[in-house]
Amino acid sequence: MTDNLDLLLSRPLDEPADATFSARVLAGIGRMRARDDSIEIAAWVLAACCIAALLPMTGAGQVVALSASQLAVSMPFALGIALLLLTRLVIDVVPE
Amino acid sequence: MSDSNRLAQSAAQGDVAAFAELVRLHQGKLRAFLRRMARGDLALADDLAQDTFLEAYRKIGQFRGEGNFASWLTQIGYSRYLMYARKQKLEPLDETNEPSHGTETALLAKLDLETALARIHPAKRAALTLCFAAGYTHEEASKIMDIPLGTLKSHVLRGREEVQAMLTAWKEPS
Repeated sequence: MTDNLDLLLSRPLDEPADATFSARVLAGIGRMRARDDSIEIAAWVLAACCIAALLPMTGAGQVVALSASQLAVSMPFALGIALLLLTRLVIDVVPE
Repeated sequence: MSDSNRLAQSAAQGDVAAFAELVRLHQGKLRAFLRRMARGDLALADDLAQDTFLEAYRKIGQFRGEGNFASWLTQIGYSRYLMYARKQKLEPLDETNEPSHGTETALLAKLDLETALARIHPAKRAALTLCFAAGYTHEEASKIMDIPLGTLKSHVLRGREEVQAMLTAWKEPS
């Protein structure tokens, strides 16, 4: 009886066939990742909004605003941006 | 390093295909273990197995690769089962299934065994399943169940005695 019981207990469990199980798990992982990504994006947007709202109230924010307004009318800066756009255009248009 | 541990390392670095391969490799054993824990409730066992893999995916970075991936996964699965059982206040000793009497064939003996295992405490059922059917050592099983080695050995001993007593009683004509 004792040996029989040990034999019975030691029988490997019947493993079910995969069928659609793996696919269901992977779909679940996909949904989980999409949800995590949404949460991350929402957190970044919230952080950016907070910074944008608070920055003008700080001294550093005023310096950034002043620099931005100076950059906006700066000729070298405008040339640099134009050069970057031109490069991008060439990369997109000219085939490899 | 085993194939599973290598795949787990890749999965930890964001390789979803490697994790998919781990799911394919380990789903059978995990689902079989959880089916026994869930006393044959296939839908419940599969839900628990799915939750186990999702949790494993989240925590894959915590798997250091020192141990066995299968035992790490089973550990998560067992804790998922315990959480569910506590939440649902599952009664481990209800007697819903009538045992068959005087069975000699292998199939009926197996059915009797499953019935007997379903009636013992879940910790004893897990201990017996891990140490016998799944082939884990006592040390590995105690780690999976997160209990001291002495407690695990006691569960195995007492669980075995209870199963044996039930099987003997069912074989004797009343």
